[in-house]
Order: sequence, then C-alpha cells, then structure tokens
Amino acid sequence: MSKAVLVATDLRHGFGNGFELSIPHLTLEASRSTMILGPNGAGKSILLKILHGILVPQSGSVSLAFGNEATEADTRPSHAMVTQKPILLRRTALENIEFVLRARKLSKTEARERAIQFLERAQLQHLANAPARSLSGGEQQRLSIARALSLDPDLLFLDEPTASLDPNASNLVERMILEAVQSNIKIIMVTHDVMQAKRLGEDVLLLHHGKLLAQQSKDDFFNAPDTQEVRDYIAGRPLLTQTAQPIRSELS
Amino acid sequence: MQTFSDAFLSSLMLILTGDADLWAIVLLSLRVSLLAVFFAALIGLPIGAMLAVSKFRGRTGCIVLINALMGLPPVVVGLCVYLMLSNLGPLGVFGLLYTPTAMIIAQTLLIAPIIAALSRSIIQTMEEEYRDLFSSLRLSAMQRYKTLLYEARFALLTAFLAGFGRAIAEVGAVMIVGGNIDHFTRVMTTAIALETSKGNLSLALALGVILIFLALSVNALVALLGQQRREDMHV
Repeated sequence: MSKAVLVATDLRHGFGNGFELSIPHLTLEASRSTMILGPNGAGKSILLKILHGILVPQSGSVSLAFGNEATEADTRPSHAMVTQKPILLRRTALENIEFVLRARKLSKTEARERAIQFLERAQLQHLANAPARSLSGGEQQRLSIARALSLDPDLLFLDEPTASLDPNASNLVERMILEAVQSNIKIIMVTHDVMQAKRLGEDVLLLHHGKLLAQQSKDDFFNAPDTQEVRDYIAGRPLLTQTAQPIRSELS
Repeated sequence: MQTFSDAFLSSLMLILTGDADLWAIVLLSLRVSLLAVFFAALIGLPIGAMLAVSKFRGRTGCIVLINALMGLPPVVVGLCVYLMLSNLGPLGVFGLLYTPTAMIIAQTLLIAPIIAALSRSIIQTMEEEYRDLFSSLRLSAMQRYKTLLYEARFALLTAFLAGFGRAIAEVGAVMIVGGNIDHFTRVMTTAIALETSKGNLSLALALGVILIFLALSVNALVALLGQQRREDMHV
C-alpha cells in the first residue's frame, strides 16, 4: 500500500441553510490522482477548500504528509489551488506568476526566469505582457494552472477547471493537468464531467448532500459500481437520497 | 448692478488677463484642498483598509459611523476646529486660527471619512475577490494590505477625487476657521460668497467659472489617466 498523503477525520462543516458536509474519514493516496464527483450543492468545493486549508472546518481535522509520519502545518507538503473562475491580479500574465513567486521569497530575477519558463509550458509566452484579465477563458485558466505549478506543489487542488471552457480550451487545460500528474504531482480535482474523471483520475469520490457516497478506484467506480447511487450518477439519473449513509472507503 | 452678460464678459477678461488677485485665490484654494486630500488619504486609507480586511468586534458599528460621517456638515466641522484652535481651545497656543493651516485641518477632517468609507467599500469588494488566492498563498496580513492597495489603485483615485470635490467646493468650514482674510486665507468659495454680497459679480463669476473648470479638469485628468490603465489592465 502506498503512503498516505492526506487524511481527514470527522470533518463537519455546516451552513445556515441546512447543508452540512459530514465526512467521518477520508484517506487519499499520494500516487493516485483523485476526482471528486457529485451533483450541484453536494459540497465538493467546500471539501476541496477544507482539504487545501483555506476553509477551516467547524470540526474535524486534515493532516497532510509525504512520508511515514504526518508533518506539522508549517512543514507540510506544498500545495496550490486552481479555482473554477481564475482569480487573476490586475497585472500582466507574466506579473501574475511573478507575484506568487515573489510571495514565496524568490528574488526578482529568479521569479522572472521561472515565470517565463512556466508561461512557455502553458504555451502563453506570446501573451507574457498582455493584461491577464484580457486573456480568453481558456488562456486565463492555463495561466492560473501555470501559476499554481510554478510554486512546485506536491498537491494540486483543482475546482472544475474546465467548467466554462470550449472543448479545445478544455483539451489544452487537461493536457497541462496530465503533465502535472506525470511529474508526480498529486491531483485532487472537482469535476462534473464523468468522461473527464475517467480520463484524468485514478480514484473517484462521489459526494451527495455533504456525504461521501463512494470512494473507489476509477475502474471499480465505472465498471463495477457497488451502490445504486453510483449507478444512478453514472447513468445521469438524479440522486434522490437525501440522507445517504456514508460508506466505508475501499481504499482506506 | 451689472447684467449677467456684462459680468460674464468682465469675468472672462479677468481670467484671460491673468488677474493677480484672482490667481492668488485660485492657487491658495488648490493648495489647501490638495493638501487636505493628501492628509485625509493618510488618515482615511489605513482606516478604510483595516475596516475592509480585519474582522473584529464592533466592526459593523465602525462602518456605520464612518458612513454617517461622510455627511458631516462643513459648518459643524468648522465650528469644532474653531473651538479647538481658538485661544481658549486646547490647541490655541499654536496660533493656527485664521491661517491656511487651520483650513487644511478642517478640510482634512471633513473628507477623511469620505476617503475612509469609499476605500473601505472598494478594498472590501476586492478582498472578497482575492480572498481564496491570498489564503491559498498564505500571505501575511501586511502582504494582503499591500497587494490590495496596489490592485485597487485606480478605483481608489475615485475616492480621492470625491474628497477633493468636497474640499474645493465647501465654504462653511474654511469661512469659520480661515476668516476669509484677503491675500491670506481667501479661497474661491469664500471669495465668491463675499464678492456676490458686495455686488462684484464679475470677480465672483470669474471664480465660479474657474471653480467649475478646475473640478471638471481634475476629474477629466484622473479619468484619462485611470481609464487608459484600466483598459490596459481590464480592471
């Protein structure tokens, strides 16, 4: 069994509208990219934010490790996040990458060199001096991913990165994500696109109404779904379960 | 009594011939109001940024108060500053009453809440937009402030402009603390009030034309400078 990268225990996070994310236990492995699926309002983005550490759950804990033992927060593996709508500064594409690198204490020259390198990897070098917010949706998302990758993360969280992109732009974004997977970056990604989950994922989580309905390897999830909810979801039928009981993870 | 057209023609002559008295008044007005904007920004911007980003008990109360202070009546501010600076007031020893400094103090107090309230609103909107990015990068509070102020720089110009507009056009506060002394504390608005009451409509009208022209050109300048950059950056 490979080393655990992320362990969440007794996660609970609710809102005034009655929604509550409730996940008793979740273990994600370092060597496998994970896709989080589920209908709208399932709590996917909330879970992603909690795992990334930018949302503190009302109860429960998340520990991250890249070794035999969990590390303290300040020495934990570096991670970065890409949001559905790219959050870009009112600066040029190049300056957007430089900004995050300067925030990580790189010198001006180092930040510039590295930013150019990652713009090239995103095939955006010709737009280096263009205002980031004037780029097309696909270019903005590639810039956002390049910026996240420039931080050299061990984990990359992606929240529906291709949600509003055309097939061609989606394809380019997926290519960047696959390259990240190939360079041993652990991907944890929220998507609505079942086919995309098949293409990019190795493990799949299914969330519904804040509960974890399934955690399986991609092959088991798509070829041998073990619950009616998973079968319904794959078939595109609405999930009617309001208070689904969380299942025990096969991978934990 | 001059007719309006007579007054208008002589006011144009005063402007075109570069009447020394008139330009002294204009320059003093600009000096007082621009310095007031500068000092009000020094006070208002950090308060606005702090209210936009920090979460503390009583924050909503502070925001309500600052918003309410935007509508401070200039004569009340003038009166308060007068009481502070008068011989019997706590700051009377400095002898600032009836000086341009007193006018700058009054206008600063008048427009600092405007700059604070507007910058709070601008920075808060931007902070909400960037919050996830900043949290993801684990930026320190100081890094967040610095970045937000830089990102909001064009929008903040509007807040400064609003402050300048209020300062250059107000008459009550500068009249009380400045005293409208000829060649010393007479600014455009107080001069217009005085000259109109004296029946010297050409000077009053000339100053009025310049006042409107100044307000328009400062706005136009900032709009031009900002607009180009905004378009460049797609703000």
